[in-house]
Amino acid sequence: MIPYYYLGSISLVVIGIYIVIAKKNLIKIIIGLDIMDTGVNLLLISVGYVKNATAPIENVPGPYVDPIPQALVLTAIVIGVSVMALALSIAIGIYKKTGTLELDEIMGVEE
Amino acid sequence: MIRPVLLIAFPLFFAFLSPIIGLWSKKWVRYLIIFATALNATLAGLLLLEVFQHPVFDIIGGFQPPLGIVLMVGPLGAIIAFIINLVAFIISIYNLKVEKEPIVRYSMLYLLLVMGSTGMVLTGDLFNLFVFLEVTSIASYSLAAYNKDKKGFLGAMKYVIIGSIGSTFVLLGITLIYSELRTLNMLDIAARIGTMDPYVKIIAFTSLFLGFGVEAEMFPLNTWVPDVYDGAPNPISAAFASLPAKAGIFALARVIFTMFSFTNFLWFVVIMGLLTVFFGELIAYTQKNLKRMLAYSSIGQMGMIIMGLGIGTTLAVEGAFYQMIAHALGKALLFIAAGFLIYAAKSDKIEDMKGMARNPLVGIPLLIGALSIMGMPPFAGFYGKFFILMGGFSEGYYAIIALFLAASIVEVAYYARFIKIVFEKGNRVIRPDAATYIPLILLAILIVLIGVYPKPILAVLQHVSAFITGGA
Repeated sequence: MIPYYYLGSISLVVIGIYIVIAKKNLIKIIIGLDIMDTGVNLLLISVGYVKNATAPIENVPGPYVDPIPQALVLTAIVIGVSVMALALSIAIGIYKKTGTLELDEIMGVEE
Repeated sequence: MIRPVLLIAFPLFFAFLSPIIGLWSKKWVRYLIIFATALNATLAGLLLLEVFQHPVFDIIGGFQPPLGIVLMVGPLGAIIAFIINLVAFIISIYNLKVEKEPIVRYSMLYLLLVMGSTGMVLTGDLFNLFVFLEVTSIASYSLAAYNKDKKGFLGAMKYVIIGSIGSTFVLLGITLIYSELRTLNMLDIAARIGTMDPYVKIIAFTSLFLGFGVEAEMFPLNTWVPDVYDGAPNPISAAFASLPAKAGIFALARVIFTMFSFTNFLWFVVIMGLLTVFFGELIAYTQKNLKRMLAYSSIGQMGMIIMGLGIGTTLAVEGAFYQMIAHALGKALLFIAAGFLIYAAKSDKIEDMKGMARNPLVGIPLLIGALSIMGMPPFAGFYGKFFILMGGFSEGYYAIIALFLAASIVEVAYYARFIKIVFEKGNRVIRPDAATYIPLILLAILIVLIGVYPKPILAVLQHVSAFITGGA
């Protein structure tokens, strides 16, 4: 049986890809990227989940959850945030040059 | 003994040293990058001599593998790292021509790009590979938008969107592998890949393949390439074709051969490679803008490398690696020459460049680079194409070989047209300055040297057969 949180995270990825493909507004596309990123992070953290387990701290009796996905997901979140910040700053640059964030209009604007 | 981690630590150190030096003198920051990349190229060369006998494993932070992060350098990884750092050094001379401020941040990002690409080649840990991929991507996104004009911003935006989707897929693939095998060490994964559920295995492979395909300019994921190469500053276009693209394709080779030792799934890779070749070469033929033409040609060349990896015989993979080296040198040369031609003609259209390359300091290297990319015998590009062709021939892929040759003819056609225009009798001849012609001549010498005396490269490429069967 596939646990329901796997389905939830995969559907977040699919929703994110749909937004990136279907939307014409740059900010919405960036939001879509973020949703996609969140979905994969959720999948990664749920891979290490063990039922009724605690965080792996010394002197706390087990069973423990797998700590490696937690370390990985922290890294992935930090990377995701920096990419989002960069994407938004590029979107600001585009807005300053063209005065719009709609993809259809950007192509028509002369610099 | 050279520890491979130094190749990553030094650029990082110099990258964050450059703002401090920039407070004192901006001019010295430019020389600092030349020094840093030269040091890195030297270290990579020494590392190459060292790994010749057996692969080097460098354990980071004292945690033993498979739990700790380990750098895994075989002869092939070492030679790709060496070529990446050598080309980075040569391009950093051309960086002296960049006049737009802020030069300090530019230098910093350039060193981070070098560091990320080197790290992608050297690492032996799957998640570490993802981190280096992201370092490379973030540096590339910022450098692509460095000119701060509409062209640059739009190219960078496209790159951010496609690149983020790609890295999300890489992370998805890593998650799937971890959920099944509970390890991230590449050799450990390779040893236990047989115990994976076959469906999860195929989904994980496809995710990683698509994810690294973005950096490797593979067919459906390469629409960012022409816009980014066109919008970026000239040295950065040269660097993009040689550093992150080669690191991406080497990561792809690691995924295909070191981790998943697929034997019956490679036709998929061959078809993707063939589609990439056709997409790149046919559109390159129709381009009037020089940098876009070179960008599409770069896509075509990367497709040939992917095909060589996909055919999967020792000879074809040797060809793919040879092609990587030849393309890194040749495309860097052509983009630097393109930078000069655009500056001289004050236009990026090929038809405006009549006679601009008649100065021998530019003309002769340009001709050598173009002939090498076409695959003419005395130059570096010949062996790569020839080995890929022979590898396909021995496997009996006659239809694929015929299509490959057809695409090569298209390539010869548009390069010949370009060469004819730039060597026509024009009105004026502009003399290049030293920061332009020194890198051109260095790259041309390397191309001729590798073409005329391929023995050292072939000696390294002997290790391909061990690489295919799942070695470092």
